[in-house]
Amino acid sequence: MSPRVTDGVERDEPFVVTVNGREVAAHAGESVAAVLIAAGLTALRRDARGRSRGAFCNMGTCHECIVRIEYAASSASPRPAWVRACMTPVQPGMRVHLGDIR
Amino acid sequence: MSEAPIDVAVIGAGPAGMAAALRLCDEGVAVTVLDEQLQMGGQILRQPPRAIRVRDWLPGRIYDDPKDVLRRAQQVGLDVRTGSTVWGIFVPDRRTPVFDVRFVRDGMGHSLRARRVIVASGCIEQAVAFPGWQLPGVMPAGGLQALLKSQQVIAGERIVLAGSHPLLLVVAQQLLTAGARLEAVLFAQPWPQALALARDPLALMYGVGALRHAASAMLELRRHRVSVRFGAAVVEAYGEQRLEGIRWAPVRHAVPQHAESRELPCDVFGFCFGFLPASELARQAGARAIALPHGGHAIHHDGAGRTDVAGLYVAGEPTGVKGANAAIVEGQLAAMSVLEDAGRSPRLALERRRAARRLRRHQRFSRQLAMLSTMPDRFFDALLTDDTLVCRCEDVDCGPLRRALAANPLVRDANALKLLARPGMGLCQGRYCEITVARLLRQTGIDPGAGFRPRPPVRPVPVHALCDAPSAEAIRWDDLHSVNDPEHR
Repeated sequence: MSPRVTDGVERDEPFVVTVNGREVAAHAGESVAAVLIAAGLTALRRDARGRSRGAFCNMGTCHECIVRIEYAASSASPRPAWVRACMTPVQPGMRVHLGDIR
Repeated sequence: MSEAPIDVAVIGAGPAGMAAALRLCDEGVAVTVLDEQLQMGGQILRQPPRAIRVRDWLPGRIYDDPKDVLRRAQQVGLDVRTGSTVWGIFVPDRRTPVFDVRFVRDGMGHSLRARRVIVASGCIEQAVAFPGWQLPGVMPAGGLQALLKSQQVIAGERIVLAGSHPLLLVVAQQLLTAGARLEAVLFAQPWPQALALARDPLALMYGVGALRHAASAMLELRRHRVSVRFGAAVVEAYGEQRLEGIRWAPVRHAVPQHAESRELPCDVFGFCFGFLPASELARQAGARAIALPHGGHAIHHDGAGRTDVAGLYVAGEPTGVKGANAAIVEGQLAAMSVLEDAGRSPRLALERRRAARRLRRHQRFSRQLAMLSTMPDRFFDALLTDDTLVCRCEDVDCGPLRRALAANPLVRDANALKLLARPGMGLCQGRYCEITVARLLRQTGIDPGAGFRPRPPVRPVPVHALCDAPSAEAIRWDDLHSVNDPEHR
């Protein structure tokens, strides 16, 4: 079963972003968190004890889903940044880095 | 030079904020709405982005009123600045009561100056600490729902929902409609507790839309042969690097019976035991709050949105969680208070009385709903083992907190425990651990009172954003500490 609901839902053609170097499909309008979850990538970082953590509140409050983003050179916001994956719209050519935020 | 201040800033573009802004627009007041999300509508609607087109989006009468407010907000063309994270509200010069609302947008710091501010910052889901709740795949049911509503993504292949709040039924139905595989829905309270609703038949009548929605969800669950249990609660989530399943146990006298627990494999687990007011911003700005008996803090107001700070108003869930329809009315009431205080519209008595009556009806239903869905402390206490994570951000378990409390009898409040053992020091700023910390304090005989003190920035912001705000003078470092902190005034 696809994690993306398709019945009654229209999306633009997918584009490619990379997550730790691996190519992953994304659609315009999706949050980085949605792209990661749809790709089966639920462990987004490790905590101080090395345990995996994933997206939690999905509304920008808990900050569990912080990831490192590099934007494509053509993007208006070119600076790499730590962002909340659930609050950040995906862009073509984005490079997402999961791992340790410390 | 600073820009001239606008009349009113509204923080939050959910039902309360939109309703307030619309009422003010009717009178030609210059109003700007700031919201952290990428789309307006608040968490109740979680509007999908324009690029994701959803046919028959959010069916059900419970969404009619918020959708109507959203439609009007779109028609009127409200000045809504989405993607704006407000981190503090200041009064730079106490002789001229103009508020300086600081926010971050696209990684840059901004300032909005307004003569009056309405805080309509919504609510968050009540966190419940149980062993394994840090595993990827464990989420508040609302988080699961947000992903579905706004992104049309189902978070996993085998889903279990558990808790005590009727939202679980709504989420369950939406997941089923979307084609998800739902294994079970577990309610911690026994079934007869639902009959408590019948004690106030009038309240039932006022909540008839919500009740009908719940009943249709129950039928849908039965049709899909989803197991719905009452008197059953999650006691543990297990898995290596992600969720592989939960253990659940029967609940007797509101205590889960660990000895009888059973495994239930799943890759997504959503919980919902209720909601807490998101009142940090209003409290940071100096508004007085009341500690709620089961956790969280509701902003004190005069019944029409006026806080103890002149020019600062609240609307919706920060005054106590009552749902979207009550929030709409509170938004309208706060807007009327603003108009009256500004001398803009003197003939509001009738409109105000009508709104107050509507609000009382919503309150009556939400009180019954809260009684139905609130579990007592002993239920949550029974979930807290020493190795249960309490503060997700700073990785603080329950055991070290208990030991810190036992070893330091002088620790008498949440702030002292925070300084000693770090719960609440991380990026969520205590929003998801305060309720558990408060419970641990109560177990030790300490009144958690005002909880963690909200200080600016009330959201994590890049360091440069603290300083760069092109249209306003710099905030003195002194202000960051004290201007709105009653204890240091």
